[in-house]
Amino acid sequence: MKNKHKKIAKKTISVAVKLLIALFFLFPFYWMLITSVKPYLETLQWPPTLWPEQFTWSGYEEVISSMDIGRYLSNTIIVTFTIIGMQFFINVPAAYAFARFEFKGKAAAWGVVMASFMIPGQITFITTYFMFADMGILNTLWPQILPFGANAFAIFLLRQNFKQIPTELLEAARLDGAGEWKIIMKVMIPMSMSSLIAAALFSFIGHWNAYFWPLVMTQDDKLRPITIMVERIKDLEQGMNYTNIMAGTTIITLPILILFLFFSKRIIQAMAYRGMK
Amino acid sequence: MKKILAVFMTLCLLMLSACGGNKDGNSNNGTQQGSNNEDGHPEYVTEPISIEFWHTFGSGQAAAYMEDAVKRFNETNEYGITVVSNYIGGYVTLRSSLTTAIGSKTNPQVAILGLSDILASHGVLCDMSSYAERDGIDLDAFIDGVQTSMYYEDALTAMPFVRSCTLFYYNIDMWNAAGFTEPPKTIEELEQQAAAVAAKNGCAGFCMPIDVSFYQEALLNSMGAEGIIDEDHKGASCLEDGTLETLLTDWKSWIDEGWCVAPALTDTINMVQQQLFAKELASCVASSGSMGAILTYAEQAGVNIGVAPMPGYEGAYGVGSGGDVSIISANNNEQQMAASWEFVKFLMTDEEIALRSEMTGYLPVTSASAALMEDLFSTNENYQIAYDARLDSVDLRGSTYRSEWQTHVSAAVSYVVQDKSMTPKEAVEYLKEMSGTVFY
Amino acid sequence: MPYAMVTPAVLFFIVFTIYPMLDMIVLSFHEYNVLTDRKYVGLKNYEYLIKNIDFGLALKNTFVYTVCLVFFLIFFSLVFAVCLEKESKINAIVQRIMFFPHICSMLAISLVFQWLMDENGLFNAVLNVFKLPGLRWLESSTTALISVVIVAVWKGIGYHTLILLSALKSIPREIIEASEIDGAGPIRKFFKIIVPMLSPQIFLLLITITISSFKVFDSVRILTAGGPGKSTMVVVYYIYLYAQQYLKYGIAAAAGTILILILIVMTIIYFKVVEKKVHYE
Repeated sequence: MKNKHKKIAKKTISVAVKLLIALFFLFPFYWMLITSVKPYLETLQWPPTLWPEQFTWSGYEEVISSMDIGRYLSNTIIVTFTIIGMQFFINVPAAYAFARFEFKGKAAAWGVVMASFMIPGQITFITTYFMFADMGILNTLWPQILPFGANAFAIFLLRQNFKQIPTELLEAARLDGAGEWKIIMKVMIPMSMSSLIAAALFSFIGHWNAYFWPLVMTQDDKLRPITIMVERIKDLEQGMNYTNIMAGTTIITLPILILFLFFSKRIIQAMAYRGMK
Repeated sequence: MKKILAVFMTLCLLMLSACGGNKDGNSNNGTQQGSNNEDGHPEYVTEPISIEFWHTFGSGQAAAYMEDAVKRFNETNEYGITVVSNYIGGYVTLRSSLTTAIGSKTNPQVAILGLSDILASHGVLCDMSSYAERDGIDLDAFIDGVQTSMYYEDALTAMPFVRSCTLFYYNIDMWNAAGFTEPPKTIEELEQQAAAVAAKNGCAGFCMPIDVSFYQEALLNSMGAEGIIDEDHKGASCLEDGTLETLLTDWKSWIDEGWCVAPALTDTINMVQQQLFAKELASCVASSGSMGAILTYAEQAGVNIGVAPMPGYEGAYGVGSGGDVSIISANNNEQQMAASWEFVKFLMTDEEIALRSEMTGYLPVTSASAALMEDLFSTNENYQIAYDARLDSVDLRGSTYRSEWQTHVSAAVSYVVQDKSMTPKEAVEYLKEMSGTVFY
Repeated sequence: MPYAMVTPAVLFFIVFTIYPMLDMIVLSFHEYNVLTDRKYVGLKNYEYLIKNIDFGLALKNTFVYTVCLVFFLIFFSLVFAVCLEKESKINAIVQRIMFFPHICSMLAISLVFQWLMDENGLFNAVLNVFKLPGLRWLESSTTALISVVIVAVWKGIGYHTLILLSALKSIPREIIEASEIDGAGPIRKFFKIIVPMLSPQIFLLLITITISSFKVFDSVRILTAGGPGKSTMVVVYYIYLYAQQYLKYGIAAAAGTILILILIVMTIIYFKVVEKKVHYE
C-alpha cells in the first residue's frame, strides 16, 4: 500500500516537473501571442497582466496598414521557394553522382562540398556583396537566392539515402534503357521522398527565418524579406510599441508553427539525423 | 572525361577572372567620371529623362509625403523629368548602400544623406553652387544653424532636406505639483527641479538617451567646447579640455543621486518615451522629430507633456541634425545631374519645405517657409517653441570619422552611466586610446 | 555523365562560397572603402587588429560566450535527455515543445526576450513575486553576455536534447539495468554510466556548438547591439560594424580571415574526432 502511494506521488511529481519544463518553453510564445492582442497602454502596465484585460487587433492592423506586408511576404516566399526549386535541380543530380559513380576528381569535388559546409556566410558576405555588385544584380532578389542554390547538407543527406537504394533496381532500370536523368526521376526520387522532403523543410525553415543575409545583401526596401520588416516595426512612430512588435513576431512565427504541427515528426527525425552526422 | 574536366576548370577560371577584372574597371571609371563632372557647367534638361532617388522616409506620414512630393514633381516639371523614388532604410543603411552602389556603378542620381562628408570627401557629390547661382537661389535664406552642413570645403554638396533639433519634454502636471511653473533653462535648474519633481511624484525625474551622441554633443557645446569631434575633423579636444569628463561626472552623479535614470541599452529613444507615457519618468530630452508622436501618444495615455528648449550649461542650448539631399556626380552625366538639380530645387522651395515640415514634424529651414506655417504655429504653441529652439541650434558637425567615433563615444558613455563599470576619468582615458585608431 | 551532374553544384560552391572567401583573404591585405581603388597595405590591417582593444574584446567575448554556451547546453541537454528517456506520451509532447524554439527565427525570439528581460519585464516581475531584487539583465555588463547565452540556450536546448536522446536510446538496456542491479543511485548512474556511454556524442556536440557559437550575430544585434559599452561585442558583429558602418572593408576582411583560421583549426579537430569515433564503432 505504502509503496503504491509512493509510486503515485513520484509519478505526479515527475509529471508536474515535466509540465513545468513544457511551460518554460511555451511561455515566451504565449507571451508573444497575448501581448500582440493587448492595447498599447496595457503593455505599459506594471506588473504586467497575464491575460489581456482588453482584446484588440490594432497591433496587426497597424503593422499591416503601415507596412507593405504583402511585398515583404512575397519577397520571402519567392526567395524561399526559388531556393528550394533550385536546390532540387542542383543537389539531387550531384548527390546521385556522389553516391553512385566513381570518377576522376570525385575526391576533389567532394572536398569543395565539404569546404563550403564549413565556410560561414557571416564572414564571406563582405566580398560576396561586391561580387553581386559587379554582376549588376544587387537590385534583384538573386543575391538572396544564388548563394544557396547548392546546399552541402542536402547533398549529404541525399547521398546517404541514394547509397542505400539496392543496385538491382538501378540495373533493371538501365536494362529497360532508362537514361540517368530518368533513373533519378523514376527510381531515386520516389525511393527517397522522405529525405527530399526533409531537405526542403530545412531550406524552408532556414530561409523563412533568414535575417543576417538579407540584412547585408539588400539595399532597397522593395527587396527585403519579412524578417527585416519585423525588425523595422520598432522604427514606427509611436516608440517601443510592444503590441505591434509582438504582432510582427507572431506573423513570422505562425507559418513555422503550422509547419511544425503537421510535420513535427519528420522535422525532428531529420534534425536528429543531421546531428548524428 | 578529361576533356569535360578541362572545360569545367576553364569555366571556373573564366568566371573568377571575369569577376576580378570587372571590379577594377568599375572603380576606376567611377572615380574618374566623378571628377570630370565637377568641372562641368550648368546645362538645362533637353529631353525627357528618368532619375532615381533614394530616401529614408519609410513609413507613416513621412512616406506619404515622399510619395506625394515625387508625384507632384513628376506631373508638374516642365522638362519631362520622371523621378523614381526608393526607400532604402535609415541614414546609416542608405549611406553604406549608396557607397557600394557608387563602387559598382549602380548608384542613383539623388539621395538623402545623414552625413554627406564621407562621400563629399571622395569627390562623388555634385557641387550645386553653379546651378544655384544660375537659377538665382538665395542660399542665405536658409537659417544660420544649417549653413555649415551644406558645404564641404566651399562646395555646395548638400541641401538641408529635413531638420530637427534637441528639445526638452516634461510632464507639466508633475512639474506643477512640485511647485515649478517654468521648465529649467540651465543645468543647475534642471538638477534642482528634476530632483524635486522626482521626490514629489515618486518617479524618475529625468532621462537623457545616448542615441548618436546628439544630446551629449549639445551639452558639450553649451560649455563652449568643440563637441565630440573638432572642427578640423582631426581629433577630439573634448577629451583633453576636460569638458567630456565634466559632463560624464555630472551625469553620473545625477544617476547616483537617484533622480535621473540611465537610458535603456537599445532603442533608447523609444524606451524613454514609453517611460514617459507610463508616468515612470517626469522629463527627458528627445528630438523635435519625435514631438508629434510623443504629444499624440501622451494624450492617449492621459499625460500632459510640455516642450521647451534643452537646458545647457550656460543657458538653453540645442544642436540640430537631419537629412540632406545631395546629387551624386559619380557615374552620372550632365543631363542626369541637370535633371537632379531640378528635383532638388523643387524639394527646397519654401512651399515644399513648409508642407514637408507640417506633414512630418520636422522643422522648417527658411523663415519664408516658417511664415507659410503660421496657421500651425498659432494653433500649436509647442510647434513655435520647437521652431524657435531650432533657430538657436547649430547642426552637428559632420566628419568622415563621425560614424565610427560616435560608436566609441557612445560605448564610453554607456560604460559610465548604464553599466557603471567605468569612472568618468577611465572613460576619457579609454576614448583617448580609441581615438588613436579612429583619427589617423 | 557524373561530371554533368556534379558540375552545377560544385560551380555554385566555388563561385558563391570559395571564391568570396579567397577574395576576402586577398582583401584583408588591402585598404578599401569602395569609393577608391583597393590599395595594397601588406599586414597593416592585421597590425590594426592586434593593437585595437575592441577586437581583442570581441575575441574574448566570443570565447566566453562559446564556453558558457557549450557548458550549459550540454549540461541541460543531458539532464533533459535522461528525464525524457522513457517512451511515454507526455515525454514525447514535452520533447516536441522543447524542440519548437530551435526552428523559430532568432529575430522573433530575441524580440520577445528583449522584453521579458527588460528592467520592467516579466522576468523581473517574477523575481519580485519571490521578493527578489530585479536584475538589469541586458543593461549591465556583468549580466548582458550571460543573458544572450540564456536566450541561445533556451532556443537550442530542445535540439541538443533530441540528439543526446537518440544516442541514449541506442545504449543497450542491459548495461543500464546492470548498474541498477548493482544498486547505483540515479546520480551515480548518470555520471558513471550515461555520461561515459554518451561521450562520443557529447564530444561531437562540443565541437559543433563551438563552431556555431563563433558565428553568433542575430541575437547580439537585436538584444544588446554590442552593449552596454562594448561588453557584448562579438567577432561577427565587429566585422559587420567595420564593413557596413565604418566602410573599412580591409579591416573587416582581416578580422574575417582570422575567424576563418580559427574555424579551420576547429574543423580539423572536428574531423580528427569523427575519424576516431568511426574507429570505435
